[in-house]
This record gives sequence, structure tokens and C-alpha cells, in this order.
Amino acid sequence: MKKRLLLFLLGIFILVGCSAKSTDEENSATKQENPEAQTGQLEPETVFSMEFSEDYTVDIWEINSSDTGDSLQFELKTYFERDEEFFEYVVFNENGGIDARELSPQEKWKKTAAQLFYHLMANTYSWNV
Amino acid sequence: MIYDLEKEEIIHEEPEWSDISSIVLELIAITDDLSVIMLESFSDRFIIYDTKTKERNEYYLSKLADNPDASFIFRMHTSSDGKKLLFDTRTGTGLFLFNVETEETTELLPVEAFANKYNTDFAHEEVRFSPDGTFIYAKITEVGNDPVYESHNFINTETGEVRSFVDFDYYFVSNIDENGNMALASGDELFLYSIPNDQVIRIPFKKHLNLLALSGNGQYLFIDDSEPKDENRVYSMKKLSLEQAENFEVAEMKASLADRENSLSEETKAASSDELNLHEINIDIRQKLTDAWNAAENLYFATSYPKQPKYIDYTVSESNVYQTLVFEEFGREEIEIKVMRDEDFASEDMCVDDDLDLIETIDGINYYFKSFSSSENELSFVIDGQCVRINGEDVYSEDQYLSLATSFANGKPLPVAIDFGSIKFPTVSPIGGWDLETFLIIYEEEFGFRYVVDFGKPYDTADGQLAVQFFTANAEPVFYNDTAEQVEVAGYEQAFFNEETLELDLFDGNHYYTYAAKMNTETRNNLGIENIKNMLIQMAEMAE
Repeated sequence: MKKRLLLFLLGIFILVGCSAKSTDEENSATKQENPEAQTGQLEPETVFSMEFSEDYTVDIWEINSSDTGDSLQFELKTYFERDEEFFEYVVFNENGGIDARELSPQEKWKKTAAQLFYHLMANTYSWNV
Repeated sequence: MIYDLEKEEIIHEEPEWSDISSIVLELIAITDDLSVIMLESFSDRFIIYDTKTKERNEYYLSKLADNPDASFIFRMHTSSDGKKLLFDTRTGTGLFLFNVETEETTELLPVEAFANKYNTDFAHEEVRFSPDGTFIYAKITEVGNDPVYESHNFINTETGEVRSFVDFDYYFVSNIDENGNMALASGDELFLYSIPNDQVIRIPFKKHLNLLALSGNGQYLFIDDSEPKDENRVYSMKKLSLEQAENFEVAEMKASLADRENSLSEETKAASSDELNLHEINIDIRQKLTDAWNAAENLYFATSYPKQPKYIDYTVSESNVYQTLVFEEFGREEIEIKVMRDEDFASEDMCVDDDLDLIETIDGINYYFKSFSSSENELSFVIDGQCVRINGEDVYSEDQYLSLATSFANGKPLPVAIDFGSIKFPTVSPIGGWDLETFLIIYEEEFGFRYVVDFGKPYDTADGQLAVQFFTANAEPVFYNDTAEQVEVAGYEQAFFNEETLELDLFDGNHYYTYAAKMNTETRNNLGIENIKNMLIQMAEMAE
């Protein structure tokens, strides 16, 4: 039987490209190995990343961008030991990714805040951050 | 309350809100001028509330569209300024575009003609709405798998032009940006399709992706990605700049332009019964089922129970034998024991899920167990080359699950001998050279024996193959359809045919039967419902 790995979530956030030193370094290394000018291929910029143990199954869906592309929202579901958890993340300019529930200034409105954000992003581009 | 993310402060508060259905109001959007758009769940009612003037307008889509079928809004899309609203009703009608200023409602892409032509349900899927409400994308497809017809439709609401494609070789379509562009994914390639220019360009980036999202201004494309890192995996959101898109290479559209008028007027293949030949069955179904039931006696079963169940049901299939311990009939307090005859599962690697822990080794047998927070428990082990999986709720503790597992012994007879009573089994099959391969023998203490026999592959009809599932029961089944079309079938007191489900339900005075024909819509339309009904009736009449 395959031995189960230690069950913990590693390094929850490795945050946003332009502000995170490690990500900058990785991007820099990538550029040296695979420069866009040489291959003619576009080089993506990482704006958000999360690292999970292989014991997790992670599904991401419903990415929505703001009008300017400075911000995005997406939904993420994790499965671990047959339990699933649902997250909704919002990535701002330099704020990194935050759980949409944290957008609410009041505890009792956290769920509503997350739902509202989903609708705003999924249905309109009427916000700019 | 409206919170401004940029100012990081509350910019509007509504201390009181009165609505008879406020608990089922979904907040859909807040416009730039602080109007709030709300939708009542599971209905066609929506509200536009101006927070500045306090003016509240309520609408019912079915009244706006003058269409009683538009009585349920599945999903609502809004333009950025809140002036155009797009409704997806998923009721087999159409999309509805509502202009808030003129209060005009336009129906788009009606699917009724497709539903009528193919005699099946059609719906819109993957609806996209551009930020200014000018462009719309929607897929029209038969509901369910293996659609008989589907088209991909791009609409310019200003010109009224609808461009429809079939054989659409893109597995993902993004949102629409403010210029009318959409990102499309095909294989490991990405493309941008301009709806106003009807032009495809190739994005110079190769990777098979699951998700795409364009920024509203079309300057960026967001993608998801995941890569291994040591023993972990990194999930990322990445951004591609499309600022140089005008320099990208023009590509061909991987789809064929469809003519909606012609596609609806094309004749479907004439109905024919030629492909519905019934073939004599050359095996003894009763003997085969008896052999399978008796062979189960050589398997290992639990012999004692830490807490006695109210009753135990047994199910024998071609590859597994199940014991279901029922403790509370309506509380779903059950434990299912599955003993797998398939030799492929005879090793621990194949039998035991990775997320279980080794809790005990007794007489060389390793017992793996896990109690999950969802009240689900699983214990697995391999005994004498047989894989045993026990799944159940918190009816037993971990020690009790282990006690149940260590009571396993073989050579114990099943509680009853198989009994067919006066059940009539088919003697003819739509499948030539048919042999009994997939079946269920179900014994319930309360109801006795039930049987399920498959002719063909009822769960794999995508290749146009026909299959029939045969069910028997001693008590009236839950789905016995005595409101369907009544038909005459020799040898039965009652017979009903449901042309939607293609099921023939029968009662012969002692037993209930169902003959269920399974096929995709194209095959059904080619064969014709009347021919299928007659085939099922013939199978039933020739049963003995």
C-alpha cells in the first residue's frame, strides 16, 4: 500500500508576482532559460500560487477578471481525506490572494460578501480596483 | 450595505429593507451608479433598486417576455452599466435580453424547433455576455450526454447577426471582452476569436488548460496552471499579456458554419424496424443466476455483528457480493460490506485506498481503517485473495468495525436458496449471441428476490448501440409508471409504456417487470419510438 504522506498544507500563500521575492527569482530564472524573444511564445506572469501536499486534490474553476486585469477572483475546492472545503479568492493588485470572506468588515456578513463578490465578478465588470 | 473596495469603506447603508421574499433574494450586481440588481431564487422575479433615489422596480420575466414558460431564471447576466440584462431560463425556451431603459424584451436563440425536430430536450449552456451587452455566446445542445445536435452561437445584438457553428473543436470558451473577443482552447493551443470581425488568431502560448478568463478590456488572459514541486504541487493563476495581439498569426476556425434554417429542415433518417431484430436466447438464464448465487457461498462473510442489524440484504453481481446491514430503515444507518471476486483487486495495493491507516495485523491479515469527519467510515483488508471493503456510518466504533472484520469466515451458506417463483424471463434478445454478463441478484428480507439483467451495455450507448435492461420485483417498484400509455401485452394484467423513458412496465398478477430500452437520441429517432415499443412488447410476450 502506498504510504500516505504527512498531511499538512504547506506554505499556504506564495504571493503575488511583483511583490514576492521568491516568485521574482523564479520568473527571472524562467526568463533566462526560456526567453520569450527566442521562442516567440508568450511568457505568463504568476499572479497567485498555492502549494499543497500531493494528498490534496485541488479543483479551480470560475476565474473572473476585473475590467483592467489588475484583479481577479476564482473559486477553489480542496479534497483531503474525503472532506471538501470551498474557498473563494480575490487577488488584488499587490494585496495577494485573500479569502473573499475576509472582505467583509463584519463577521456576520462574511458569507454574503463572498457571494456578492462572485456575482459581481461573474456578471459584470463594473468594478475597478 | 455597499462596501467600496478601493476606498476601503462603506459607501452606502440600507438599514431597512422590506420585501416579502428577502430571504430568497440573490444579489446579482451593483452598477457604477449604485443601482442594485437582485433576483428571487427559483422564480422569474427580479428587482432593480436605485440606492440614491430609493426607487425600486420589480419585474417578472414571464410577463416581460409574454411567455409563461419563462417562469424560472436559471442565471442572470448584466452589462456593466446595468442597462441590459440577459436571462438564461433553461426551460427549453430561449435566452431573453431585457433593455432596462426601453423595457423591451427580445427572445434569442429559441430551442423549441430543435426540441421538436429531435423530440428531446434542448437547452442553452455556457452563456457569455460582453461587458457592454453587445455580444452574446451560447451553446445550444441536447440536455444530457452524447447530444444528438449542438451548435455554438455568436450574437451581435446591435446588428442582429447570429453566427452558428457545428463541429466546434474547442473544449473551452472564455468570457467576452469589451471588444467582442473570446479566448478559445483547443488541444494545447489557445486562440482569440473576434465576434465582430469573425476572425481567429493564434495566441503564441502552448499548454492544455482548464480555465481561461479575459480581462474586460481584453489586455490580459488569465489561465490556471499546476506543476509538481518536490512532493507537493503548486497551483497558480497566471496572466498572459495580449497587448501585441494585432501581431498574432491569423488561424482557421476549427468549426463549420451552420445554417440554422437548413439544419432544422433536414430530414432525419426514416424510421425503420430493420435494426430491431430479436434473437433467440440460447442460454438458461435461471441456471446462470443460480450458479452465480451459489458461487457466492465460497466467499468470506461476516459471521457476527457487534450490534445486530434489523435486517441484512444481499446483492450478488457478476463481480461482487454485497451484504448491507440495515440498522435504521429511514435514518440511512447502514453498513455495506463488499466482497470483490475480481482477482484484479486481490492485492492490498488495489484493494485498500491510500488514505486508510493500518490499525491491526491479526493472523497475517492487515486491517486498514479510517473514520472521516463526514461520519463515513471505511475498513478494508484482503483475506485469502479476496478484497473486502466495509463502508458505513458511525453505527459502529473503530473497535466494532474491527470486530466485524475479524469475524469473517468462508464456506457459510447464504441465508436463503435462490428462488425464481413464477418470474418470466426473456427468451429473446435484441443482442445477437447474447450471454449473461452483467446482472444483479438482490435478496431483501422484506421483499424476497429481485433480478436485473442487462442485454447490451445500457450505460454505454454513445456509439449508437441499443440495450435493454430487464427488472423484476415482487412488490410494486417505486417507479412503476401506471400513468403512462396503457398498452395490451399478452400474458400480463397491466402494461404501461412511457415513450419519454422508453420503459415498458408490467404486472402479471404475481410479479412486476420493467423492460427499459437504452440508446442515444439519434438511434432512438432512427429506430422510431413505435418500433421500440413493439420490440419491448414482443420481448415481454415471449418471456417464460
